[in-house]
Amino acid sequence: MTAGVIERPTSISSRPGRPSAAKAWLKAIELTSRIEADPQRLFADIVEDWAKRQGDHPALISDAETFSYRALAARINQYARWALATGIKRGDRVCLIMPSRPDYVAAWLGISLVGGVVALINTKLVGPSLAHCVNVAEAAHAIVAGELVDAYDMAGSHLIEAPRRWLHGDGAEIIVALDAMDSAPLSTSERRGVTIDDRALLIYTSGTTGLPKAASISHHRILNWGGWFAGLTNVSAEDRLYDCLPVHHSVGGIVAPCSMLFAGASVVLAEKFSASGFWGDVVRFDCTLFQYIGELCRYLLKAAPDEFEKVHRLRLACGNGLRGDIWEAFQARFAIPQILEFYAATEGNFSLYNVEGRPGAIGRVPPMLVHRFPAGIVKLDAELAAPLRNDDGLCIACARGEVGEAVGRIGTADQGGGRFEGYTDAAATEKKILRDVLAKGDAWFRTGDLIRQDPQGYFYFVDRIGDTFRWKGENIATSEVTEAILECPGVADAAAFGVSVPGHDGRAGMAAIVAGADFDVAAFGGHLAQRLPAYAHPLVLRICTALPSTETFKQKKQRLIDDGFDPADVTDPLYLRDPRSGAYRLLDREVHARLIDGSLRF
Amino acid sequence: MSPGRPFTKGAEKIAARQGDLAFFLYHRRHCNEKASATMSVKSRIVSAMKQIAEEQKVVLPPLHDDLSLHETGFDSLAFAILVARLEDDIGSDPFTMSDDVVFPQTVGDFVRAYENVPA
Repeated sequence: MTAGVIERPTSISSRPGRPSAAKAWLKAIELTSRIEADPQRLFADIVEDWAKRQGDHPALISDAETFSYRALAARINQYARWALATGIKRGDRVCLIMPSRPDYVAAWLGISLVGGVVALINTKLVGPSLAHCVNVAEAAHAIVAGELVDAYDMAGSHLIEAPRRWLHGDGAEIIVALDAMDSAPLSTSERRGVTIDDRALLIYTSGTTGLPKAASISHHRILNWGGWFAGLTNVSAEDRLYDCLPVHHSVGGIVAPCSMLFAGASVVLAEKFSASGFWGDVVRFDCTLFQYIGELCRYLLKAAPDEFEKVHRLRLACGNGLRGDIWEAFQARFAIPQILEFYAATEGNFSLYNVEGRPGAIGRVPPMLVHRFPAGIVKLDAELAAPLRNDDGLCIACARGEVGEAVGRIGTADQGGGRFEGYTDAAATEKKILRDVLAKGDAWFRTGDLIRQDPQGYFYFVDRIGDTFRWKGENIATSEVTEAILECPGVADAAAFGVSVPGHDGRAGMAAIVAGADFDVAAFGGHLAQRLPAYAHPLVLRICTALPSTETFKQKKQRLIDDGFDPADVTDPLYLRDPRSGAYRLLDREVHARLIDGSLRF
Repeated sequence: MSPGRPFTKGAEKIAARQGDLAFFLYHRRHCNEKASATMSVKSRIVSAMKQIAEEQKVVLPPLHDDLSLHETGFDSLAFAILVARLEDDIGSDPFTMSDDVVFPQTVGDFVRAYENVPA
């Protein structure tokens, strides 16, 4: 078989140089429909094929290193042989804790090629959260970048069983070992019969409750993501995508690189997003696409004019979370010809794509496929965040315009469903499954997202359901924040929740705490830093004498959310987190005014 | 919609004699387009479906208006091929262009979506 060769269509569409929606859908469906025909063919084989056709063409580019297709294929094979030589068996887990760089992609592609399962650990995690992710992976090995080794070692006391630690960096043992490995394609016996149905990755998602969950990602899913986006973005080998999103998440780490590598194109991996450096990078690397999340777009739109913001060669921006209120301003100011917004979850079993570029929509099912589409929106009980049931015990579908929870039918495509591969934790998997939705005995995946649909069939994101909130591109479980706060000295009780801040996507974290005599607000930020990644620290802290609760002692968070954080309304002491030092400072009326008018940045 | 009035041989001769070639060509093309668009949308769709069924190794049941799209045996790929081909053949994709969008469930719905595209 050959690599998924993608050529630009020759037909004329309504916009010259851009395929019609029908052609974009066809390309994506064509590329993904071939996956099951050859179950032995994994993503690394696509890279290998491109290496034969265009070995010198850049595959992965960064300031740290650049891999041509030949170099990437060779490195993947070395990682695969390292895994074999190290005794990593099929299904064994390896934690990967490394900032974004080409070797990161080579590592997981290589180890998974021979059946290893690579757990992509968030590099911002510290202490118990970091240890939790390593613990649930039950990994025998951990590859840790030199600059993250201190954080890793500090979490060591929380590890149930410490994996063998491999320091990654110049001259490190694993680098010496890799360089000594043969880089030629693997033999059949070396590949150990791994197929697309084998698990390749664990990617962590913050669910609606508790600590992050490890979602199982098969080779099939990786190929599917790559093929969909290669098709819908109509990528060719000349394209170059700028990816500054975290590589331990599914979009920045899998969708962005794999959509380009699928088509022989190039990916620029930037270690992190910087509003001031973004356009300079896009121009310097001569990118034709970039991958976004909505927050990134909002930061760029807020930033001062940049000399490079319109002199780029971009043809498309692809991502999720670009909201309707800034869509057109963003597209116009930065002269972006096409925006491909999509909706998907790491562990979700369906996705939506806004191929037509309708501002504010997260996508729609092509009307010609609606009769086959495995998703719906069901009515929710607002108080319980549970689906409403009719007299027959079935769920109630929302009418157009009504807000409800998006659900996806679990099953095979032939049955009109999508695959749900679950988490490492079976109980967590079961919690995401909703039964008896349209008929007795059916099973659907709960997205945890509130969605509505307009008369044209476009879907719009409304909010997260229940005890999570989204801030700076991360979904945060309030239970995890509450638990960390309760561990801080002097905290008697705590409730965490999300609050809206004007001019910001998502909701900022806020915590109401009951402080004991030994509570020291000056030390609070430091204590939190040992327990939570910075993005999960509450922005606002409210010190209460007691927390409101229901008759059943369930916290009445809604009252706290409704109270907000305006010192004019709330008489309790309020504190605001300083983003640079992480310390909490008094939030008075003057600070509040600056927060609301946007002059105070965080 | 009624088929366009055919352009008669006599009218061709008159137009040509009058030297109004541009008018003649315009009129002939216009009539042909109108005629084929209204007369054969359904047959074009049916013939495209048969061809795709052959390529994709799908056994098509007898097609009629009430047949549900599920029962055609077409999968997502087959439908995507069909809509992309009809876009080239008929010159429109009623499922993307229209604000008054339809969500076809049957073969009849599907055909009507193409028939109702404004000329």
